[in-house]
Amino acid sequence: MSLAEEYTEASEDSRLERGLAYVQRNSRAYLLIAPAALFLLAVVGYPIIETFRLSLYRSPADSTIETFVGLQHYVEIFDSDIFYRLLWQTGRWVLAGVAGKTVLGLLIAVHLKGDIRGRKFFRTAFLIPWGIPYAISAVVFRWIEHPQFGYLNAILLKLGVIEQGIGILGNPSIAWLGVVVADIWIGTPFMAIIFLAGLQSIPQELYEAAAIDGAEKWHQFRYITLPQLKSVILIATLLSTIWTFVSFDVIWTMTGGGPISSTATLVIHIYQVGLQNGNLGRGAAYSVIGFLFLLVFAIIYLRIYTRGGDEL
Amino acid sequence: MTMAGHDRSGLRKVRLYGVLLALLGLMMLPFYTMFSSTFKPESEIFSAPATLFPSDPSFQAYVEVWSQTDVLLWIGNSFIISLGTVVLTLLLAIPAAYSCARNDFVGKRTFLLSVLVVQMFAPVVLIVGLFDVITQFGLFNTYLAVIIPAAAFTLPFNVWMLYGYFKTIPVALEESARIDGASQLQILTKIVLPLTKPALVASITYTFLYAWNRLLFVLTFLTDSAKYNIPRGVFSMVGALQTDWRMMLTVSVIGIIPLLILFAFLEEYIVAGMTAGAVKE
Amino acid sequence: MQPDNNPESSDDSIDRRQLLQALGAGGAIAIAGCSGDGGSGSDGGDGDSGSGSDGGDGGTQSVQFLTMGVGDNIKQFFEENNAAFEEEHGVDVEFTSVTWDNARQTVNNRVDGGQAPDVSRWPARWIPQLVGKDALEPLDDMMDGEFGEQFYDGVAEGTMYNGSHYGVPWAASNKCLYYNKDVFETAGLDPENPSLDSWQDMVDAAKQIRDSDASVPALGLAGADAIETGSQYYHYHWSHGADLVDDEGMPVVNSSGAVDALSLYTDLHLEHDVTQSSPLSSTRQDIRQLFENGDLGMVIGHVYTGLNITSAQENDEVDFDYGIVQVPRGPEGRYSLFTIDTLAILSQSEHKDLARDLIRFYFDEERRFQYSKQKGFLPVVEAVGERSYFSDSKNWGPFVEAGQYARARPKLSNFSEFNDRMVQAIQEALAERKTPQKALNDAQSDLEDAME
Repeated sequence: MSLAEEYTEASEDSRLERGLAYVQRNSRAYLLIAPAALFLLAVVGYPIIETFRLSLYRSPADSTIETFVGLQHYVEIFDSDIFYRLLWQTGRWVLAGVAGKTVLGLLIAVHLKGDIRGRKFFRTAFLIPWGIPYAISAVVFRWIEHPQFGYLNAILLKLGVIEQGIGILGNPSIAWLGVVVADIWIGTPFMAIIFLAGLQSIPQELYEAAAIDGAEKWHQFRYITLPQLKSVILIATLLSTIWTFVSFDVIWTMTGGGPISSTATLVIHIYQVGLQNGNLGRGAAYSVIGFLFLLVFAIIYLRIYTRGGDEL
Repeated sequence: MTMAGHDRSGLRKVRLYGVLLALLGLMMLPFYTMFSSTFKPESEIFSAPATLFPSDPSFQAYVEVWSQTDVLLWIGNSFIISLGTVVLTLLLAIPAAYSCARNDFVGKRTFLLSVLVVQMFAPVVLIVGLFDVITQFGLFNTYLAVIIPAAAFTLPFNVWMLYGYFKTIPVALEESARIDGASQLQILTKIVLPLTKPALVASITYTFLYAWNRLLFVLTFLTDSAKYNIPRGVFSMVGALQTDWRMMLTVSVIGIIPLLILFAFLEEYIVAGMTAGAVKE
Repeated sequence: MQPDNNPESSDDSIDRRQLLQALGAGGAIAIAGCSGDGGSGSDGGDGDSGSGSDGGDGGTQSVQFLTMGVGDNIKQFFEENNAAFEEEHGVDVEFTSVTWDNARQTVNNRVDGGQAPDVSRWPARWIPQLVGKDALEPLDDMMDGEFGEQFYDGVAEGTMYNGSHYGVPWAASNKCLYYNKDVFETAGLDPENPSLDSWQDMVDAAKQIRDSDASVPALGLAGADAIETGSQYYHYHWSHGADLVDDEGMPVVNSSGAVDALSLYTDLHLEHDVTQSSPLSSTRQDIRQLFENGDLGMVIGHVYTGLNITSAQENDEVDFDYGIVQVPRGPEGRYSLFTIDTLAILSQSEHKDLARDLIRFYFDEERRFQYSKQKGFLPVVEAVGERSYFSDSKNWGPFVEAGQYARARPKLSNFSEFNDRMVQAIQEALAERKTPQKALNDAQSDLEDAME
């Protein structure tokens, strides 16, 4: 306590004391989160703050000179056509990817829930995509879709569906779908596992009661499974949205953002502008914009989540 | 099920397995592409159109791979990096998640949200700043240079996931233990964690695979080829003019085997976790 | 965690630039365009560090020699010759080899840490970056003198940057046009003396293949979003009298010659339909693979294509015959894209004379011959190229001859960005999103903006 504090007003004094007392009372709670908080601060705190700082500077890679430019990067970004194109491309990438992973994950989880024959085999087999490094999976998918060497075209040719190999990844109109498929493949096992864990916590009696009432499978799913899984689905899709938004390996390995930038998302563009072309400041400004998008999204999403009666 | 007629139950079974097998086929096509190609000679891998089955299957690749590549070293390194990440992440995440689940304190919401913020930056976006941090701590070219960033990016999910599960465990159990004189740590390790097994298994799996699958940190923070993990090893085989695809794919397939064994093992735990959940009712 | 000491020139940005350079180089992650160009790394996989000779710590001088991607096929060559040099000069050679995926970062790390080697192999396209750090010693004294006369002109030119030679050509790779003799025969074309002198000849032959019983596409066309799509296209560009940058280094990519070149490139697919399907999906690597398996009529490729087919023939994996001719001539000449690796001396070296001696030693004609032969690299020294081992060889001969058409890409510090923009223009034209004129005009204006 310094001298100055003797002159502070009584109310503030007591507020401070109350605050201290509060921390003291909850010291164990703070102590337990402290390691995680400090660790994150030490490892990613600086890079994040640095990103914000750099977004206000012009910082070319081939010189050490940084020039303060204020919000110029932001103004130029919002002024450019490419930004809105990137938003659209990122949006469809996230939407299609998350929807695909969620639906497939649910489908697998629901079918694997029961005590079925060969359960162990199926459960293990469905996990395989998760055990392959992303970049390798992406290489394999690029290859499957290859117009000349790919299995997909070989199958379609054999079935007589097409006459010559089609290059999905080379067609600016549909290349993004070819990449989304790979992303869904990679991301589905995680969703399936989460949903499976969620399904386990649904009391079996609910289904038994419904079965007695003669409810169809679909009705059971619609009126028992989905509502019971609601919070798991919400959290899983929130995370999946964030991860899909920031994902890099798959797109980069499969198409590098091409052809004609048609598969580029914000993150791909950030990499190209900031790291490949060395325009660090511009890349950082894009990163901040992308972050703000996700933050607003997450807050709205969590509000919906908490409105449903669940506390955070 | 007991009320359903015999025919209907049979039909259901057919449908169930039909759906499962169809899904499985879809999921397996990419893996099959890899797997079948390892039995082809290089020239057949690049035949147009592709041959769906190796015309003259050969196990040669699986003989050569041991001498031509450092696949065992890479698998070993993958385990070191993944296990290191799991240990570090759980040590940090369990106390934090438990604290948030059991206490109401000012800043909890902020903490949980700001943990999530970490996820909102692509690792590749933060890589320059991370590079500064890694070199500042003198970690460049050590396993920790990969483990620490991986832990930072897996921590948020683990905190949230465990937080959610801790909340579902009735406080009453802990109360009675506390009355019996157990310490907080004892309660956590003896009572809470065993009940959290399914969540822990999911946590460990996620964290382990995150570190197993990512190339970026290894690519950027490790230049010592003795510390390469599987993805980095595979990509070191990409030559400018010649890439031995057959070897690359063989290494990739071999890299999956330890995980398949682990998956089969973990799957058992999930089932065990399920019965634990049932007892809870 | 870095307190922000001095934003004008903070220390950490040096580390950072290193990282950026490594990432800018594409790194291994860019497998989508995985065939980095040229002589810079044919060794692929297991060329781990070679023999780090345990330099004596006594009074003997030592010279540090760093090279890249030394595989089993060439390890002995270096061991023997380093020993010979040590004997001849009474010094130690500290020899290290790093893998290609680490090459750029390793040298940069050592330069920044004040630990630069004396002599290092260094791809010419990375010269601007080290010159930017004042890390390279100009070698004009060697290259402008008698020593420099042994090289092909276009090759010697390739080590120039800002008016000085910053290295001695060490390895090179260039391009020729391959054709499948069996396919030519089926199409009623002369397989032994095909008329493939000009682009028009090539188009005519391709159309004849298209209309014949030959079941394979006539011509391989690269159009994927990868660095090498540019490399393939520049043959067309240059031979139509178009340039990439002018003498001041400003972009000039939309001249009328350039429009003709890009129109020709895209017409091959859109108008004449003589290419493999979906060229926008195909990297240069893809079309090379197609040709090597006998699934393509013609392709522009480097010497490895021939070497690969020859070894596949020996293993009975393929059974077609092929021929090699020069890259076709355009209205304004004929060019073969050259990529050059150099031996450079680093300015930090305290033994620059010894370093020069080491270079001279390795440029002994017989040593050059052995190196080029064992390594399978195109000779950069004329006298070596003229030896019958190379000039009479079916695979090497045309590439040696192409030495006279050598042309390197411009050395710009931001060439990869430049090239990316060119590839985008090629793709826009190939996908019919823009006319060649519009695609190149847009590229020109973007590049002008970027150059500022």
